[in-house]
Amino acid sequence: MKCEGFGRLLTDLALGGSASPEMESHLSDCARCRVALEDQRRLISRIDEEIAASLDVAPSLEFLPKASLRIARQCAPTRSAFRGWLLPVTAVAAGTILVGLCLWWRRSTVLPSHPIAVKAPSAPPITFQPSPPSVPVPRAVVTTRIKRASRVTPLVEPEVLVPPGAEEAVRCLAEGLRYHSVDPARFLTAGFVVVGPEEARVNAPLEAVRQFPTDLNGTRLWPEEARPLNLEQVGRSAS
Amino acid sequence: MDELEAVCETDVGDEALLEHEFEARMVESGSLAFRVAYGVLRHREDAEDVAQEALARAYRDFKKLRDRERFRAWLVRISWRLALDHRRGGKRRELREQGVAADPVPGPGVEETTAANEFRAPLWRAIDALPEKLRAVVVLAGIEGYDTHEVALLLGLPDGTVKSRLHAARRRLAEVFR
Repeated sequence: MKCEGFGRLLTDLALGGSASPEMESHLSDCARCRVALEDQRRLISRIDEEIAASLDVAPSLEFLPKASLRIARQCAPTRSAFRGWLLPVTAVAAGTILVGLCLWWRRSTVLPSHPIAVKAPSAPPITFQPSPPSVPVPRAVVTTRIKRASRVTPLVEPEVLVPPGAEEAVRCLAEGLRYHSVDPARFLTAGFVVVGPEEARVNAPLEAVRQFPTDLNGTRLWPEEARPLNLEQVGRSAS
Repeated sequence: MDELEAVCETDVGDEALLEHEFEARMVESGSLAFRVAYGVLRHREDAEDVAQEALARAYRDFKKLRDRERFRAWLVRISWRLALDHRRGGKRRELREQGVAADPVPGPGVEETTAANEFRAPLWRAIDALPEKLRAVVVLAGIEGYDTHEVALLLGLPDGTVKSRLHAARRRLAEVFR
């Protein structure tokens, strides 16, 4: 065996391979190949040592605690987005829809198929207007006109003409008319006289009042001497 | 109701046992996972990060592991694969190469350390150039305390396959430095 042929098998021999009789014979005769074999063995030994030394590294002291922390963070039972916020929102939305459906169903079953206009009895608003300045109004007598709606037609809002400062007295009068409990003494002492249609249902006293003449504006001309009259007396005189 | 509570208590007990078992195995094999990752990345922080991720993944699937005695081999494969993925991702490549020179061999002086690094850097470049099958054998065999049989167990390969791969790897490395 020559050195070239031995050199091709040198590494395998250095890695622990068995030498053939020819290789043994060459090694015993060639000092240069013996040195090359020793160098190769040292090289391989150094490679192994360097690899082992490179990998002889211990993790830091924080390695395991950090690993545990990561495990706890990653693997803990986390609340999903649905369980976190989507579930309450979905529940509220579903509840709202359910309530809406129940109300709709209830209305559709209770109410008839064709709508009926229902007007709740409500207190008619009172509009206050100052008396026209051009019309001479008696000092102590204020004429008030009240219009009430008929029983069949929808309610007609009453209209009250009230001089400034007399609102409270007119409000008492309107309440009396609305609830059919007029107290004549209450508004006569306040200096008012009622003029109104039959629908106002103030009955006899108002019927008597209507016999007095009115001016061009419809204002009842009330005689000065009639101011202290009691409505009951007026009613009796009219009848 | 009682049966349900009993089942729940049993589940809770099993969970606790599983937790304890995993903790023990994590303490036992955590360093190995780190070294395997370090063998690929050779950057301490990256290797710790990868090894911690490997442990977390192992924890998640620990229930599915039928043979708990195979935990070390299983963890090694997870760590190895994650390290390769991390390396392929190219994260911190520059830091890793600086880390080769920054991780000195403990013990020798400055001059010896420099000489060692001069040899170590091209050595690891040669190792990185090896095929993955050979590289895995070299790295695992390089970890202290692991002979061919243990490497074979870790990789799930026959002993002969590991021996032949290790021989081929060392031969290639020796040829590089010859």
